[in-house]
Amino acid sequence: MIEIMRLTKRYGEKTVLDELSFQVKPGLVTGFLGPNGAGKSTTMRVLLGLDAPTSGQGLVNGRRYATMRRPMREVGALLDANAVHGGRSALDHLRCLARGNRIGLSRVTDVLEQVGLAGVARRRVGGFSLGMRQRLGTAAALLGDPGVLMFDEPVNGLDPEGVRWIRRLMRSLAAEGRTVLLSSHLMSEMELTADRLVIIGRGRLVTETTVGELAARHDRGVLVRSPRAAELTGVLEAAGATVETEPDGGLVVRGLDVAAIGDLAAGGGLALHEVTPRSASLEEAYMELTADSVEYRAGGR
Amino acid sequence: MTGLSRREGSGGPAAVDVPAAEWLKLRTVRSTWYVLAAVASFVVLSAVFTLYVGSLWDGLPPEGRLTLRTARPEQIILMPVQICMAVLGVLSFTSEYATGMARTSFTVLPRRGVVLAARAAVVAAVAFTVGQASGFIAFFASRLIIGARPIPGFGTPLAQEFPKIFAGGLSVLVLAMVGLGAGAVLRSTAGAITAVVVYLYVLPRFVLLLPDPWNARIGSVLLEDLTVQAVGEPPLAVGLGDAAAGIGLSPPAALAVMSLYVVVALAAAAVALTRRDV
Repeated sequence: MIEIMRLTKRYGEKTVLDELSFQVKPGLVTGFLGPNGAGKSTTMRVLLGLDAPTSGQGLVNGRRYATMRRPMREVGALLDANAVHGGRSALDHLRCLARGNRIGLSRVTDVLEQVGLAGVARRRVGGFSLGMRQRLGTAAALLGDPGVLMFDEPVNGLDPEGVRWIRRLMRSLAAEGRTVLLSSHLMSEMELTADRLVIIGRGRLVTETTVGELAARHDRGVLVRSPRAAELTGVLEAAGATVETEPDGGLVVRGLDVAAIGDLAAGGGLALHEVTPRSASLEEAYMELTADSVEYRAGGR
Repeated sequence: MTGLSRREGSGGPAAVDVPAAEWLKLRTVRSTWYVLAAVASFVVLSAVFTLYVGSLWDGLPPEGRLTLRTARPEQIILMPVQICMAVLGVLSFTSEYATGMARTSFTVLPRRGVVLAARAAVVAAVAFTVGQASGFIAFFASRLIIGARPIPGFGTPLAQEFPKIFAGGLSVLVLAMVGLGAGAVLRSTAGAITAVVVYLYVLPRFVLLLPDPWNARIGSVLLEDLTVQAVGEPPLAVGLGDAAAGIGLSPPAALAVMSLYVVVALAAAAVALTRRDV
């Protein structure tokens, strides 16, 4: 369980987090979304005690992270896969982290095996690709077998196989009852992985939702064309749909899906010339939600 | 979630976990071994120097032997060893800031004061050992090499030299802590090493040029002079006759000022670590 309570962080004049509040519940993968500069990483840094909040607080399992003696056993985090000393071997790197939290060598070799780095355990991290470093960072997060996990853009630099592996790992961690917070600036990534979505922009909460809810909310109906539009409208309205007629004669039907519309039309012996679902993709829904809060935008719009 | 208890058993009481982790960190980076190799090579060079002194002595006529004045190996290596251990102290923080490892370190151990104390203890232990070992090895090696030759300065008994060598070793520890503090505050390897070298090399030479009595007064609180005052000798400016006698600190006061350096360096590091974002 992660609780963010009215968290505010200012760097000089710039407000990065502005009274941000939300919760992350166990047993689910929570996607933490927002455009670049929205404050996702800052939120995680404050949660982990790396940055001090200007006001408000973040709690993990009801406690401030910065006071934890052996936090790896409660919280596993991967913020920046490059935050490693390139001169150490993967094994030594993990041993150093494990030792301070009283985690034994056998667990270190277990997680190296789990993330697929056992074969390169004695190689220096400096020679690792970004994808290998992501795996190493994931291994570090898993070391203490924690109930809460936080990952900042974990698929960056991973190849397709690595991306699938991370998705499956996140899903299985949540299925084991753990709290999983996963940030990304790409909706497409979350569509496949996250149960719940926390969307922020300019340091403020935009919405807390689920993937299904977000898709439904941005449903723009089904565009239907028929030579017998008036009769069809009557049939569809009788079935509980709302129907609007567009200037070009097309019908925008809400409340029925494509299959139901087709069945009803067939039942009435009405020909259909077009049936096009117009629900926005999640990506579009997300773009719409965060349009006001995009920090950096290319010119021309 | 699989059994945590299985992993509880390693190591002793909880208080050793963080120092043990810091010790592991220190010995798993190459820079540590490079620094120790540098110290070892200075010790070897000091022995080579002693060999040269011995052969020089052997080749001199009796009247030449009377005027032979030479620095002693354990004194010659002191400053290089100080620099090496200061670099070790600097790197203990700056290598983590340079690579980003600091963020990982302070994530897995968020109590920064505890990390600082553990890291300082580990670096201090290494610096103390290296400072004492290098001084005494250089001393004993030189005595072995010189043997029975009555070269001035090479015949004094160990009991007489021990305090000087020990104080020199302590100054190595002090400088390692100053380096560690500078590294934690400045976060930059180049900046912190420059600061230490300016303090160690440049400042004392500059202070000697100040008018009497300021040369001795200010010099007396710098590390080089503290080391000589700790064994009851006057500050350099007084010893060289550039300042009036009687200025300077007693041995206990000199040792207290040396400790003060450590306290100030660690306090500055503690403030920097706890007040700033990583």
